Amino acid sequence: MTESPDHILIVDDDREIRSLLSDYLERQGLRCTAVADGRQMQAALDKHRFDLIVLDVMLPGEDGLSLCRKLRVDSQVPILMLTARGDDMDRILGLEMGADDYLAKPFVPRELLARISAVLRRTRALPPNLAAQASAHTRYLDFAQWRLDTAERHLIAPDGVTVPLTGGEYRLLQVFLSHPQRVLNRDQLLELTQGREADAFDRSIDLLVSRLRARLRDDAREPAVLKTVRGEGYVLAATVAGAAE
Amino acid sequence: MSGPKHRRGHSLFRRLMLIWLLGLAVVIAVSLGLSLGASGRALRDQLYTQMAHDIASAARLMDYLPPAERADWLTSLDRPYYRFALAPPPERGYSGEHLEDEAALDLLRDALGDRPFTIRGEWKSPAGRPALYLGLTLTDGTPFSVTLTSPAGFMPRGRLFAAGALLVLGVMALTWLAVRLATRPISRLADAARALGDNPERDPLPEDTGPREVRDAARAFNQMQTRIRSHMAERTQILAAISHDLQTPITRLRLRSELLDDAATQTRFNADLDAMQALVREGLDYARSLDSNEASRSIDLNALLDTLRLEADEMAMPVTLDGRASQPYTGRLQGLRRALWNLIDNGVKYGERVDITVTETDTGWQIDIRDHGPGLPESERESVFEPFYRREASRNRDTGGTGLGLAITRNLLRAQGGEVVLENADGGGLRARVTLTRAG
Repeated sequence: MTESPDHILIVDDDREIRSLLSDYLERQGLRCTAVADGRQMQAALDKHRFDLIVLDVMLPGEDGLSLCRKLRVDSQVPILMLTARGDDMDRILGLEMGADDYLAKPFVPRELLARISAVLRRTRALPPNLAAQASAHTRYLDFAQWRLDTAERHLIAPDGVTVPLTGGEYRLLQVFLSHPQRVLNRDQLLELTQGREADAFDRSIDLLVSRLRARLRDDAREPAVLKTVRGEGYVLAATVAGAAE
Repeated sequence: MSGPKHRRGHSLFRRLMLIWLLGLAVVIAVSLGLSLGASGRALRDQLYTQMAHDIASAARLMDYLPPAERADWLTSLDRPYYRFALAPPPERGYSGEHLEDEAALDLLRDALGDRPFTIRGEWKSPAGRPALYLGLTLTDGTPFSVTLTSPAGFMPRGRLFAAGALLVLGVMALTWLAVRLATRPISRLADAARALGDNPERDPLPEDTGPREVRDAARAFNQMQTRIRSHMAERTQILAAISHDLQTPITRLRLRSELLDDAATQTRFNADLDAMQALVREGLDYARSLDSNEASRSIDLNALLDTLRLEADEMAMPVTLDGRASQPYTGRLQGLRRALWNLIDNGVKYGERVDITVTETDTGWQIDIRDHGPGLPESERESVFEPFYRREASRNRDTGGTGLGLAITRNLLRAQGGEVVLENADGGGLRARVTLTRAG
């Protein structure tokens, strides 16, 4: 447990946004360094160790997407991308390039703060051996003849039909796919999907699991993909392979 | 594609057909008139007169010759179309009283004077052609007969008319073909223009087939399509540029508002920013809805509707879902999702709660999104789809709408061959009826 505040690197070409954002985040108890472009970002990375980078996509010179891809070659530092509103391409590419989350501009500052906290918590919650698996950045995850599109956040069935998912279903499936063939109990699932502690009567995970089974056309009585381990939790009974195409 | 092919007024096809056929009818009538009329008759009368006199003189010659020499002379009297015999005529065929050409009979009577004669006719003589048999008696009582055979290719009047009718039919068929050939490119152009309204990204018309005029028209049409597309792209770019450039100042204002000490001011400040941001976002979405390049895919409609219901549920919006689709729909997922969400969101906003019903139809699916609000007067059910349409009672502003939601919805649906209309539901409330078409 570190007592010193998390150190955030802000990369944005707008001077005012840089200073306003730094001020805001520092008032919320974070430590900030703000730079204007990729070159300065590299210089800052050489000098300090950062807990998270807030990276704007639209940058002069080398853009945010390309910086993100280069960073991912030798670094696992969490990245939160700021994209242009509604530009799905930016969002999809950002996630493919290895960003941990994205937020569309103009954002509400509190939303940004919440996302930063969520990403920091998520990366810390994972034991080191799991973290390595979770950060395998491929767009598609293949399992049991199904495919999850992590950029557009839907399932593709064995027969090629696209099956949309709710945010909750997607996050839960993501968690299972990041921990294949590993029994996860309700507490872990709640923590990993929603970042909160389960109370004894919380059945929301069970509800989500049964909905996911329906989406996966998995037999509720004798599920083949998402199995129940009595008294322990649930397990994804399939191997997972990443695919870029 | 759509719409009735035949509207009020005559089609070009019918007009051209009429002109052609009238012209042909006149030509045929004139030529028939000439051949059956005065000059034709004079020619024929001359022929009959000559023939009648020929027959009369042959009979007189036979009268004059001694019976022993008659046979020798007979052969030299034969003509290509009639021959003589010293025998009674055959008793076949029909009686000559019904002979069509009364004038020819008169000529014959004139030429033969007081010599009596009988006449019989036959449609198909042993030679295979129509023939007339003339029976005479020489002064010494010897029977004398003449066999007149029609020249090969002779045609009785009835058959002549049949042939004429056949000719007219043939010409009509050819006319139909020619007129169709001439008008088809116009119909194709009309279809293309109609399709252009639905989808400006449609494939251009082929420019390398058909006659020169058709190619020219196709080329001009394609140029127009390109220009329309570039205008639309320009509009999209302007909207996108404006809203993109507004993002930085809005982001700054958002951060600055956090510096405000007065909580009440901050709340109002943020509400204004929300409105601004919504307008920027919807403006961009509207531009994109006209110019989407999302790929088509096979979509599980049940999962999509269920997802929307659950997401509404999470936001405490009361939504029910009824009915099932038995097969996947092929279309644009993001566009469809956004369109349906807009309708659900609207329904909850104005009509408290929403019931979604999906039914299968012959051509695809029908998704009804029905609310339980006051509904809409008939006069407004179409105009609410216009961009920035404001109701007189301006409900939109109260609920933070921008006036673009329904326009975006309709654009997104039409871009994938769907449609949405509003109707007042039985028992109150407004029903948005979305129709989606099955591929193929």
